Amino acid sequence: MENEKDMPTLSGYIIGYLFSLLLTLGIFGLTYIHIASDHARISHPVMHAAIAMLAVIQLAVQSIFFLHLSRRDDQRSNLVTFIFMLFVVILIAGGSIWILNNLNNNMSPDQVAKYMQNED
Amino acid sequence: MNENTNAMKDKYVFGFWLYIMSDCLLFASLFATFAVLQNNVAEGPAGGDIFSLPFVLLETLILLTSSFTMGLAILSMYRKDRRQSLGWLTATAVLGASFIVLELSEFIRFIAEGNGPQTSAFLSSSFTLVGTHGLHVAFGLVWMVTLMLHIYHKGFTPKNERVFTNLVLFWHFLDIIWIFIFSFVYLMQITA
Repeated sequence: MENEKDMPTLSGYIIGYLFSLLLTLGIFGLTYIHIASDHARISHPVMHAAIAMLAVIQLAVQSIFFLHLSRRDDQRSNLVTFIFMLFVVILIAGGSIWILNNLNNNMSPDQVAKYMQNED
Repeated sequence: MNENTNAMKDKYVFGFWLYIMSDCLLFASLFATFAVLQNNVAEGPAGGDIFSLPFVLLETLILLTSSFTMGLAILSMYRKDRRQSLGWLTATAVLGASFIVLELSEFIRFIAEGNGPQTSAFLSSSFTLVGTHGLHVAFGLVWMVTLMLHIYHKGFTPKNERVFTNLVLFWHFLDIIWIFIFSFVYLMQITA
């Protein structure tokens, strides 16, 4: 067998699980406060930023504790492809949202009305 | 023997890792589609009208716990404890199946209420995104049961260990995709 200390450990899984549980309950709790107070207690931008941030933190937690991504030698190529994947994902998702929202904003109400008429 | 099988195992696992990375790109395209279309509700309901917060929390806790029990199953494999490993795999499969049942019941409820995927661009894209994830989980379950039968009959052969390692990666990956689904599809819509 290879180096024992390189193997995933029970404590690693427990820490990852508790951490993920905490993040999940945290964001659901905040969402509950938000809708229970009729969107008054926490403002929309803060709420949306919190949802996005906690999702990214949980991605990091699970990648480290469950997928065992690290800078260790035997994980190096996994990590490099992972980072490249993130880069392409940001390009696809970010790029689509950026460009299509722009197109949406640049379309004047007159044009929209004209398209609607043509459809009828 | 050990050196050779280890090198081969690493190669197989890395190959599967590359598949997972490209699957992430598939999900990225579906997320991008959803992000662009999510406000186009036509005459239909918005996400906040139909999504239920406790229901999504339940689904999330079930899938997260199944990811954890899957980790415990592979830890038992490292100790060559076949019974315990099969026990944790069974727990994972039961949790995974409950997740699928919950998701299907949600889809059926939406369609029964007249909010099927043909209602609006928002519903088309959310059905596609959530459904693709559910399909992955369903395939993972079939794979899991097959592997359990193999381990039950033949024990931890090098091939079974390799396949097990890949399945664990796949399962954790599905849980990570779900983080983004509950955050960007459900929670964003509910708080919108």
